[in-house]
Amino acid sequence: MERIIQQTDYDALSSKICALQFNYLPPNKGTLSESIDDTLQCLYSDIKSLHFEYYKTLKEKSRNVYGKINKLMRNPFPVMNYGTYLRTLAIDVSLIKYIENFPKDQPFQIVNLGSGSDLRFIQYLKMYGGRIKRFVDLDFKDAIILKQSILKDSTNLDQSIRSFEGKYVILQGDLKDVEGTLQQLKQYLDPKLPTVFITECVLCYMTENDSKQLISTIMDTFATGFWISYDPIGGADVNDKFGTIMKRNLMDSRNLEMPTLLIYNSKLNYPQRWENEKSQIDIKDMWNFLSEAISDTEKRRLRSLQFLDEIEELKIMQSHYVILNTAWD
Amino acid sequence: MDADMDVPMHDAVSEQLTPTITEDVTSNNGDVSNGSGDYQDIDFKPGSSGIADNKSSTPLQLTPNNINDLDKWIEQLGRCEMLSEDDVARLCRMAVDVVQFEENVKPINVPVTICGDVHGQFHDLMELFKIGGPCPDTNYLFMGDYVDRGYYSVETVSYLVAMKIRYQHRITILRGNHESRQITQVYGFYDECLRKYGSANVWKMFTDLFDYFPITALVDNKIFCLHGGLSPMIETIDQVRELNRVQEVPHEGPMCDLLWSDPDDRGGWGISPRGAGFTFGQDISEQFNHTNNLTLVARAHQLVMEGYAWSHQQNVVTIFSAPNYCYRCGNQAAIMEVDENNNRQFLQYDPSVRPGEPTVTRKTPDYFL
Repeated sequence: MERIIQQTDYDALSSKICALQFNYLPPNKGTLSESIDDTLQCLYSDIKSLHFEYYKTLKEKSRNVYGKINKLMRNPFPVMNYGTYLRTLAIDVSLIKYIENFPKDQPFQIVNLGSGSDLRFIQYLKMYGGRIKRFVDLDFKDAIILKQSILKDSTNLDQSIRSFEGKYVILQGDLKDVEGTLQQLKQYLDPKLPTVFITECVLCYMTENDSKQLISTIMDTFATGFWISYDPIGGADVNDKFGTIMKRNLMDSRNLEMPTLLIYNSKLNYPQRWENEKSQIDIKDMWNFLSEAISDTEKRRLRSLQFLDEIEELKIMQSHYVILNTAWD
Repeated sequence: MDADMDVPMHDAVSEQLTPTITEDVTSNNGDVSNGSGDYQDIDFKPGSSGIADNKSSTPLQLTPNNINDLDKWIEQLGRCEMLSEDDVARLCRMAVDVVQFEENVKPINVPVTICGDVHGQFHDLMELFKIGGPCPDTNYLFMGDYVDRGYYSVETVSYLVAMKIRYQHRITILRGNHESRQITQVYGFYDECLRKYGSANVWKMFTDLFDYFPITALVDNKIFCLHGGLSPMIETIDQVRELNRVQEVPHEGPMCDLLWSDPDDRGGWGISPRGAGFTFGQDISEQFNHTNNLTLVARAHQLVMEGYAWSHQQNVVTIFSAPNYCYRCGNQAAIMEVDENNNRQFLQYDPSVRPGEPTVTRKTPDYFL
């Protein structure tokens, strides 16, 4: 099971490389009407070279993994590139907004749970290095070993990490083991500092109980925090078969389980695990995000990249993925 | 052996021939120009397959030999087994000599069963014929989009084309916006041909054939049928008759609009979010139907959850015949029967079960994981 879940990272990485390759990412200037647009530009300034460098080094480190990712990249349908673009942007917009709300001298920490090959730590440590006390990536052992070896082997990436002076920490762990995970995190993090937790397509692979446990323990341990979570939702409407079909498709074709897809199946139900008297919750589906957050100019740019033939399909898919932001204090 | 990966049938072949985006990524130090440029090398020239080099000046007359071959092909394709490249070449040559003689606005008599997008979902097409009744006992009008997205575009389009030649007056196949060189390179038919045949030859033959497909049909002078929708440059059906349709689907202009446009709740003409064609409001549909003495515009092109959807106060109907589109959308499919008295009835259906389909050809539908 662990291996099956871990391999979903190859999907995520291949999708991101495709979205970069087809110029969906980085977003253009003026993508957001909000004041953080400049910050976003800055964050994405070398996202391409960063990812291509990682991917190039991956080819040298593991032909096996490279081959799998390469194969996944064969058919980059426009709907997939759109979705990857939206997912990437939604997480960064949430994160930047939270950070920008702090006084400039407020140090904070970021934890990417189930980070896989995600390279946000480089983007954020470059931009907010002075203020970030720690950036922690945590994932299964195999994922971490490969990532570490790639980061070490690439002179460019290795140099970046050295310049972060120990602020970047990469940990092996299993999120099902909540106690063990917390033990590890506490070694590197100060529970009194504001801390951001990111779970990007991670909770959907956990059981209801495990994910509840993880969330409540973290919210109890860290006094001030912010949680950004991106996941699919199965749909709550009786006629909505998206989740049932997704569950079956992933089980049949790759034995991948989605234990809570039909439990936390709507914008109403998904946030339940974070709800308490201290938390403020905001949740959007990705179709809302596309319609409301992205400027018309940027939408026009996206349309020009590939012929997006299927607006209805895009809408169905994107209304079944959500971005949740929870702040607690 | 990893059970989770798509295992193409001829992996070694596709390894060499699929355009490898990744090579660019790794060799260019990351600075990659627009991804769509990857396809520029492909010999893209209309007519290069040669299937239309010796067009007949009269419509194809079926001989007992032809009929024999066609029946054999239909039977083989009916089992979802693709034809050899040589047979596809013969099939396409015969098809050119059938469809080149059809009008831009193909007149059709009732009764007829009108169908929308199929998109390579071969097993669901077989289900469609079960629901609607076998061809040629039932007359069929398909409104385009036979290829792309589903895993069996090759078998699907081969089957429909073989049926078209065999039962010329019983089945009509119009052109959809996916019956185009450019779109099939983005949405899968091109890759499928490479994977299944080891070269782009079959793709070239079919896309050369698509140029000859009729673009609209007129059922009993009352229902105007086409893939997409109306065009600001077309007020009368006679104007459609004047178009030169034998070409790659253009990026703009009346022929493009007929294959790309969508009805919209907003009145008038609007910019299409698809990047081609227009959106048109109820005022436009009413005017068009009135001018041309029509009762209805029937079109496909848009995924609708019930398989069919009325719009513009029943001036326009959308029909979509690919259930659970892309194996993940969860929609029903539908076809519209029009009987000899012009009564209309919708038949809805769900995806076929695909028993015995080898798992090696089954790919995980795309999700964000």
